[in-house]
Amino acid sequence: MKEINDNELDSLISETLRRENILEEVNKQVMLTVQKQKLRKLFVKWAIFSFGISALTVLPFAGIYYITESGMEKEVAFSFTFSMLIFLISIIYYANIFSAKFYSKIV
Amino acid sequence: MEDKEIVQRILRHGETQCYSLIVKRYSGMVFSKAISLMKREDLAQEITQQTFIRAYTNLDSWHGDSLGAWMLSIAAHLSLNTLDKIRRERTEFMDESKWKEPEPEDDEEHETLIQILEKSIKELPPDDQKIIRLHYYKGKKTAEIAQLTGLTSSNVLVKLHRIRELLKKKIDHERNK
Repeated sequence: MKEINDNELDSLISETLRRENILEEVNKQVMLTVQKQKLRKLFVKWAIFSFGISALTVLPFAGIYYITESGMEKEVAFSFTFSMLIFLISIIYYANIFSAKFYSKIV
Repeated sequence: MEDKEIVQRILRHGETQCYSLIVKRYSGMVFSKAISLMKREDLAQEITQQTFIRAYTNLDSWHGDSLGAWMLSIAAHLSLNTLDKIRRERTEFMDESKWKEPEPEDDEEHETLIQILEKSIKELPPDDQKIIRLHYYKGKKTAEIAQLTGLTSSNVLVKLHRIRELLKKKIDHERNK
């Protein structure tokens, strides 16, 4: 390696300090994105949870009410409502997985 | 704090602010890798940022070996993808003769010098760090630095000279190791 002269040293110091600032900026931007990602994930989870809970509570009752009102037999009404519930749970489950994958791709 | 402990804190307890420690620890290394491949500071900055964001999103797939090496592999992957994209655009829109191939040996030496200086500047006393930042980064004159630091102009000049000598010595010392 050749000896560095004064001018080279000056430009190297300037470059080093500029780079230090760039890295600080990188750190700030990364942490901002990480925080945003965390908040968004929390929001998605909260939204799915709230929607899921309310749907799980209201829909079976509404289903049973509607089916019995329409004159269907009780056993058929229960099995129909049960399969609806399974369908709903699987939708919520896959929506959760899909949103997580989708978000990781966006970032 | 060890890398593994930081990652566990993030994954198990959601302590995302700990990730800043990882960014600070490896950003210099990742940036060096990115700039050695990209040859452009703005692109290297972008790649460094993307590397840490991608690493965070896939943190659960880290196997527990060297985190630095894992980060570097992500940075290299992103850099090569970007380079590939740029080359494709270049062949479409630009004259090939304008493309200047980098000189790897010079870049490597330059990077080594920057890393030595980075380390040496961090080891300086806070007052000296302030003086060289004002002079070399903010571009302030000695009189302005004197006003800002409460020193005399001649004192600032002497200090700057000493700092430069010290940094030069450290570079020579590290290079001769």
